[in-house]
Amino acid sequence: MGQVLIRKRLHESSQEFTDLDKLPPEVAIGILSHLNATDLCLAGCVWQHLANDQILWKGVCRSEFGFSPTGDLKASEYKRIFLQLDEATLTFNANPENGINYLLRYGLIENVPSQIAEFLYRNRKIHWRRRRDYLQKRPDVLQEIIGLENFKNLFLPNALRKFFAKNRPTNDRGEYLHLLIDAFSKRFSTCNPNLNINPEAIYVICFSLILLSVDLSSPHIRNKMSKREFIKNTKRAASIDEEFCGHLYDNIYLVGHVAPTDL
Amino acid sequence: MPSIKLSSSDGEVFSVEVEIAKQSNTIKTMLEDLGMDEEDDEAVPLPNVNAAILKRVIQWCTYHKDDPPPPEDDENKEKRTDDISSWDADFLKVDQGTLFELILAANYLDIKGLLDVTCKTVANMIKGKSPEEIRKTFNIKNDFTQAEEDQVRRENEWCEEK
Repeated sequence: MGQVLIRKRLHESSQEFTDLDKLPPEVAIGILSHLNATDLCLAGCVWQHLANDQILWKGVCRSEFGFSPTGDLKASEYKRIFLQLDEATLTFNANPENGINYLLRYGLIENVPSQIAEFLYRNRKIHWRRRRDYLQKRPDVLQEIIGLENFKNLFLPNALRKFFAKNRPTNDRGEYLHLLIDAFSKRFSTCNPNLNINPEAIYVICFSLILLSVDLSSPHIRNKMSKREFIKNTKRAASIDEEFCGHLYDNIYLVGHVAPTDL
Repeated sequence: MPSIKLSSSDGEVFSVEVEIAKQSNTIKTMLEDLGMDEEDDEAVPLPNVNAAILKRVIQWCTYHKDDPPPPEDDENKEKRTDDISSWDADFLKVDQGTLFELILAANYLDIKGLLDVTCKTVANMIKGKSPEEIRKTFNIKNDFTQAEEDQVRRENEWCEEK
């Protein structure tokens, strides 16, 4: 009898419809937390109370825009914040100033460089070109954004690559590039105090690395700089040891250009 | 290799290597806190898991026994559900009833990796579907009245415009 009962139950359970409502709520929420905003809304038409959980909407604000609303809000309010973030991001990508003004108008951030920087730093949907346009006009925000980067224990050329991937320099290599490298050098030095290289020296090395990158990767340059030459020049300019210079050269030689190719 | 015995809800006993069974935090805690001796011959009762499901859970844990511990949840990370390994994807090609029982078992046994991958699989079944298609997939009767349905639609209008 027992056997029959078990078989019947097993049989039933595999045929039976399975609904998120039947799962423990924390598991159902766990499933829904993998959805993006659009899917979450559509799922809300099926599982209204589940998909309108505030944790989910808070999570969506965070995963799509890297934004953590403060305070204990209702789901509908997080939903509203999500829509405003979406609008602000779209606006920013059309016109950066308008995008920031939108955020300020709806009180999503305060008008201080650190909060603007935080928004731009965490939001993956911001277009790098618009971001660069904005940062060129707002060096105060640029400083704050770079302060959020972490270069701890990264080898200098790799850190510089990571940095340029997010903060692309302008093609003219003008003032903005100097501004970027200056800020990078300070941040890198702060992140790696044990290296014992001051920001001024890092600044010099960064430019040597860019020149070396161009030299090694440009098809128009026939006579490439040799490792010996690079070590000689860099060692003198930045007063760092020879071995370190050698590693720098090898990195560029093996890994390639430090900046995105459209530099 | 020391092993322990696990007893399913329907009384079947499985002998499992301790290291494999310990992927379940529930069993791990039982062994550590309750001082259950590894040499003990008594089977650990798992009243919420039947033999068919327990067998699959053990199969999953055996395959994943050398996995590194799962990384801490990073809420700022982009959500991905397309990173299910091909072995797991094959393993989870089961009917919905079994899939849901696996979720319940993973939740009860507290096996993070299994819970994660099963939840992602269900999330993938929801993604990109209209409410009607979701209902069809999960065999859910629409129990909204027309008025309620209209209300929900109004609230969610924006996402359909996109």
